[in-house]
Amino acid sequence: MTLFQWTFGTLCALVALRHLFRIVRGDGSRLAGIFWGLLWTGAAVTIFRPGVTGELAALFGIGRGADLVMYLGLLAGIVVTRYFYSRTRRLENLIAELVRAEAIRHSKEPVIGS
Amino acid sequence: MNLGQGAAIQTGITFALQKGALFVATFDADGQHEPRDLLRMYNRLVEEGADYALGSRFLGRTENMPWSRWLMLKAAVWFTRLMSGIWVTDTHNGIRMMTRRGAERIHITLNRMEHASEILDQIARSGYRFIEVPVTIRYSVESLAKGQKTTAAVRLAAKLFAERLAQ
Repeated sequence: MTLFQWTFGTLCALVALRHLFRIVRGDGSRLAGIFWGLLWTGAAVTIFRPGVTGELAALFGIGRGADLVMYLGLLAGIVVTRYFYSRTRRLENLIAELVRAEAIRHSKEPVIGS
Repeated sequence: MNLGQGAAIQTGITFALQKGALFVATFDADGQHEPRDLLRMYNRLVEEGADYALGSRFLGRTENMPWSRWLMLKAAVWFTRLMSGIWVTDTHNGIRMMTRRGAERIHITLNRMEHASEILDQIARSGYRFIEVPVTIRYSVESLAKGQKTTAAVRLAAKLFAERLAQ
């Protein structure tokens, strides 16, 4: 095993364990804990056994494991970007609604000819 | 708090509707529009039984329009035709008039200059009738300084495209 595998593999495994403990203790969202736990476990397994991604890629008919990781990363990037874009737009609209309501509440009747 | 032209127009529309307005007009405050055009728009709206009257400088007259602005506006017309499927000759003209029924269908969510395209989108989706009315636009140093820059137009197109993708 290389130094990279020992360092980063262990780090990913520790983070995965932290999420596992949080689920057991009942801290935070259970769904989020499972999601992040699985993600970090996957990262640790991939680092300790790099062949796994190749085997998985072959299952999907993709030539190399690195390509599978790249495709998944790209897909995740698109999903995350869309999610945050929608959230930002919702927040922007809520602020506009709030400011609009305040502006109308403090408005004065227009005086024709003034 | 200044949220942008789109947000301000929606505030104006909401305010006018709350006050019981039967017709709502939007109008840029930089002096580029001819106030008398509003009367012609109102007359056409009533005569033709439409719900939206949209000002068109390309059917009417422009004074001192720089060629770069002409090019940008023409590109915007084709962009809107492609994205919204609404066939108008001028997409970013601030002078408009609408009936109460028409105004009730407008809910601007894009706070800045993109609202012009959003309004056209909502007009197309409403299924209500719209007409284009020739208007006069006078470009001055002040109105050009306050108006859309070419770089801002590219950002606007990118935002509209992103908005479409996110829907």
